Amino acid sequence: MRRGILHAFLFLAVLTVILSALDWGVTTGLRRSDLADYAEWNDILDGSASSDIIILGSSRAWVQFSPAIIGGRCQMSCYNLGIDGYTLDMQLARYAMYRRYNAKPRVVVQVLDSYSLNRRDDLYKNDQFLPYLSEPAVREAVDGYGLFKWYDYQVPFLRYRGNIETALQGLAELFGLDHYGNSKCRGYEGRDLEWSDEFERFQAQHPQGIEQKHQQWLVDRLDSFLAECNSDGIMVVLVYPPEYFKARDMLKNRSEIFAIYQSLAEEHHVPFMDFSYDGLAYDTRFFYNSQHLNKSGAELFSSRFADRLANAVAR
Amino acid sequence: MLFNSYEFLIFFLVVTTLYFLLPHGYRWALLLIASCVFYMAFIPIYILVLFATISIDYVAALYIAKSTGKKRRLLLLISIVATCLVLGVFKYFNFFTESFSVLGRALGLHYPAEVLNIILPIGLSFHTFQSLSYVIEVYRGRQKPERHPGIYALYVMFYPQLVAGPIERPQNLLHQFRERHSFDLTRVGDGLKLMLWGLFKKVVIADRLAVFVNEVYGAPEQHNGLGLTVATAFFAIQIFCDFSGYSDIAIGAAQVMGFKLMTNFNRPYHATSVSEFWKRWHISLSTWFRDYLYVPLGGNRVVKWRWQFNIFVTFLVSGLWHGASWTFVVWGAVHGSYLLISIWTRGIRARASGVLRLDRHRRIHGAIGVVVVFALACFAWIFFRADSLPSATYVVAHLLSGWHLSLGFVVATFRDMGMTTLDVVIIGSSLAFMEWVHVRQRNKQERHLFADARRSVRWLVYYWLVLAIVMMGVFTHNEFIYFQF
Repeated sequence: MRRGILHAFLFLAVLTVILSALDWGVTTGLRRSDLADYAEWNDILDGSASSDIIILGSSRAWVQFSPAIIGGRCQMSCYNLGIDGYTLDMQLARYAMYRRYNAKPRVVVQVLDSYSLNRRDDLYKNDQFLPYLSEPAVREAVDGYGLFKWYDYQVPFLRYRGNIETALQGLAELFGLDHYGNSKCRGYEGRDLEWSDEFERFQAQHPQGIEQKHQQWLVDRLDSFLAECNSDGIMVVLVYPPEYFKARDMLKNRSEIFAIYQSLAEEHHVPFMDFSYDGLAYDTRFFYNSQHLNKSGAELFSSRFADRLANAVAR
Repeated sequence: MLFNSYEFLIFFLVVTTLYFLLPHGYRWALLLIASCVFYMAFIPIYILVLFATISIDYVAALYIAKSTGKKRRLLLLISIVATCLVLGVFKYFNFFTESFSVLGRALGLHYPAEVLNIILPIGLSFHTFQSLSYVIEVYRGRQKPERHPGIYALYVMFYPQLVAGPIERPQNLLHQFRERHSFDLTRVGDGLKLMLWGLFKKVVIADRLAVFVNEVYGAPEQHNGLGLTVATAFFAIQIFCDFSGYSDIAIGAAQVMGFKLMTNFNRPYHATSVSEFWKRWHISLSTWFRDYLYVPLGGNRVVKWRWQFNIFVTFLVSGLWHGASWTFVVWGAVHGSYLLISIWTRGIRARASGVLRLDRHRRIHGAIGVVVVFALACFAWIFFRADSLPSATYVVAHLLSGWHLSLGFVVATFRDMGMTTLDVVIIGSSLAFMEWVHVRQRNKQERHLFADARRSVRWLVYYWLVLAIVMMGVFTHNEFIYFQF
């Protein structure tokens, strides 16, 4: 039995060394990578996301707010921290990580939509978190989704299991075999896409319209975030970007959600800029789906928003 | 608690360690408690169903052993009916009432289908058959009744083979619970290797193929003939890797503790005839049907038509055993038909191989046999995998439609199935590795995997298996296919 234990120990020791080496290699490679999603996390971690204006939100921030246009108009540096598919909890977790490694911003633009206060159940695009699970802010943010278990944190490399593509990308980056880039610029990606029939199909499936839930803990989270920014002397601007007008009218409890945003803005004395009735909202040439402006729409919108932001900052 | 879960890994390590630490006299109790915990991890209340069948057969066997003549036969009948009744209620009630309802409507009668809204207890068909084999063997006088209720319960509930076999015989397993099993490094190592090998087949091959099979069989009308053919061949490999992977883990886990479970698979897709296929596929079930259905029906010691009838009925029942659906019955019927056709064409095939001089080129003859048997098995798997008979019929009717002989067409088909280049590389290399192991082990038992290889080769293979599982496995908690039976 003693020999058995010795064999098992030897096998596990060598295995731990191999897995640790792989873990280090893949993580280091991905942390050097400019692959979409990783690039923004890497910018946050190495402090290169530091900017005067920080834009927070979901994909409605990521594809609609151009830091070049906004920063240029306001004559300040700007970075877009929009995270695809996520609601307020993850957006604010990303901001917490930004604050840990980067300079304090002067302005935070919090992009809102009808989904912001309703957390999704799954950890969408979860491979983007893998190299950063050792970061407390990331761990805290992903823990609530229950996807990662104790062994993902404790056993080297295990969190990459089944993600061979990600692992290979990390190793290729580490050994200089390939360098992966992305089409984002300071977190923003204008999407050169045209309107599809996706919305019409959605509308046909929901002739009675839709209702969007909201969770009180996320309302409280937004409330405390606004209070923290106020006490830190950071100006916050709440923005509701344009959405296609027919989709806007489909939301049955829209006034209820807007009342929440409005009351929080009043309570904390922050501007709430509602662009949902902007002229862009009525023209499908500027959208690729009901919730997202395409590149030309996004750039037009960014200019309009930048003007209002510059005025607000100047005041 | 699935074999491919971390919960099972911890469970297995704890139970095995305690097993070797405890004195021999307490080990049966540990294994029984562990088996209860394992079973209750699925639907706890169903342990009562299991206890009910265990109690019935335990008591019945004691009385059968004491009785003679008609009373003995009656007790056997009561035991079989009671055990099968549980299976019938949980597994077949809805199937039969719905089928009668359809038949009634066809005959213009009003027969409403009463449906029971219950979930099938996991592994019910397996432990029911294991219980039945015990009472039948006691009745036949080939097995003494087990007087210790704990040991008998363990025979039915032994956790490595509780939910999907191998379906053991009392002569092979019962006595092993009384034997002392010391810690033997070679045996423990072999058992762990077999578990690792099974896990590789399950999470790297079966679960990856399942993604594409599910894509195609989920909406067959959206795929061309090549897609349907590839998905069917993939399913043939998936179900082999899934079920033989499960069996390897079960046999390996038992072997670590010193128990020898029967071999369940022996490279079935290397078979050169359908009858040989059934000697290599799910051996514990095939031999169960042979011993407790085919032979009692008269086997081949009857007139020719009756012998062929016995074969066909055995396969029909085997199909029904797999699932309460007409697709499984047709799957059984297709295999039964294969065997009958092979009997009817034996002379023609012998003459044809003589004319083609295949009898002088045994390797070529064998290779042709392997390809033909694989193709026939694949055709039958369509009925096993399809969600319904119309869906299976659609697949069969469109297998050869829309084919083009061009690389672009093949690439487009694979893309439609959701496959990437990386998937092709992983599947190709994993299958090549599995075949290499199969060829290497062809004259040896898989339970002694790489036993004769140099230590450096052995360790390299072990590390490769672990890394392949971690990197290339699919970890979406896919159940084993045979758990549903």
